[in-house]
Amino acid sequence: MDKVSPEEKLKILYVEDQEAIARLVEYKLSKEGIKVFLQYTGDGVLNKVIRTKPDLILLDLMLPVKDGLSILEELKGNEEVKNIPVIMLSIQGEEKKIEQAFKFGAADYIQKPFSTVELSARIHKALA
Amino acid sequence: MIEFLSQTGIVISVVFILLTFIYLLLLFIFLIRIFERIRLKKEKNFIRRWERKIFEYINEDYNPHELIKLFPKSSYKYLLHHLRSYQLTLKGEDKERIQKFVNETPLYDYLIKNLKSLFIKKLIFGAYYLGLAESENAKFIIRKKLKTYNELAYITCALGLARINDVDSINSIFNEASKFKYLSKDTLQSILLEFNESVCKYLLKRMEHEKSPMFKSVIIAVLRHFKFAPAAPNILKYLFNRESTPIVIESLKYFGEVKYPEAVAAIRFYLMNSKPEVRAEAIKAALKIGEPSLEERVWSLIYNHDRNVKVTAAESSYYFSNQSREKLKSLAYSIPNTMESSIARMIISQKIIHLN
Repeated sequence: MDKVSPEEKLKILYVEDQEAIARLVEYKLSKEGIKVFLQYTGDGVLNKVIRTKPDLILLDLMLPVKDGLSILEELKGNEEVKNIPVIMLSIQGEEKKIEQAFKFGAADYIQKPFSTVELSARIHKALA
Repeated sequence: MIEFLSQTGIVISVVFILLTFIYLLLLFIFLIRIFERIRLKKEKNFIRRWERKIFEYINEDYNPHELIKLFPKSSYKYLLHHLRSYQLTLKGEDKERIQKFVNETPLYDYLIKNLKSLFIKKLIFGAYYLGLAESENAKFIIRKKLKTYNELAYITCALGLARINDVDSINSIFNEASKFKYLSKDTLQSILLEFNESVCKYLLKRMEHEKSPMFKSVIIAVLRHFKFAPAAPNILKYLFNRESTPIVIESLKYFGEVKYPEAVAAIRFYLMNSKPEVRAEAIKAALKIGEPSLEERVWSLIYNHDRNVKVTAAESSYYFSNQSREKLKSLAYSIPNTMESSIARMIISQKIIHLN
């Protein structure tokens, strides 16, 4: 992953079914100059990634239509997008799924409840 | 002729009643959908109008007293509902900002008014949102409301007290719980898990005098969740005293989690217990503790008469050591094809797919 120059806006795709949380994260990250694309279901994520070409993907494990693990597997199996770092979001008790996500190539994970400060720090760490 | 007419009349009446019933049912469904649409539209409008202000507040561009002035009292219910997802998903400063907003503005008085209401629905609403906001000042009123005969009101009040981490209410939570015949173990457990780990020493005290096996096993489950090792000597006594099956099972799970070496002798004993569910749990505990002296006995349980015990023993043997894993592989491809070798093949196959 190439580093993004300060003039170039960072782009993140956030896949999250809790719409209020997704919009709050969008607001918070936009304050840091990051452009956030939102997706509320697990359907059509790969197409959106190809279309928007984000620098990083935030992916919730539990999603309607298609779960986060299947999406991750799909992303990592696609030549065009497989190098985009993916941070998984999980709740307590999903450790086995997180283990699996790391096997599929996730860059990091954040457990819910999370703080937006922590989220931002992990995003920057994954992009460094 | 008269008989025919009277029979036709009955049929027509029945058809008429059925059609009226179907019509009313359709009307009812239609009205529900209309109301739901109106509610969703109101909520959408609310979000469109106020969400940005809430974000600005969380980002510290607003003070809570200024923010609340923007909201009419009639919108408090929507506002609290909307704040709920932030409170459940965020932590740290963001969550504290939301809690401050609820606790230091007229929203607090609004919730207290609901909590004090004689209507159960309002009481539940107040207790739920005050608990979510961890309103320390509300705990005394919630404690009083805990003494209800309505199960849902009890659950909400207990949950509220747990979220406030009111550890002094532990005994009341258990005492009041005993009133409800159908209160499940899972419900009580999920309430107690909302406390933070400081609750453990209070639970330990309660456990010493607790008579109910269900409550005792719930306490052990919560102590296991928090990996509270100081409870180990007390829980070990339950294994030696051969308490009821749910307590023994929870105790074995606990020892597996806290990896208490003093429990090895008891685990060895329970590997031979007459109940298959106890044997299976003892196998899991033996694996988690990783005591080498139990390895051979766990392996021998692959030949146990109970299928679940066989599978648990085979799966544990796969992880116990390289030696056990090799033995399992040999068994898997041994001749003749037995139930044990099939189970061994199944476990190895599962693990290989899992690794791939």
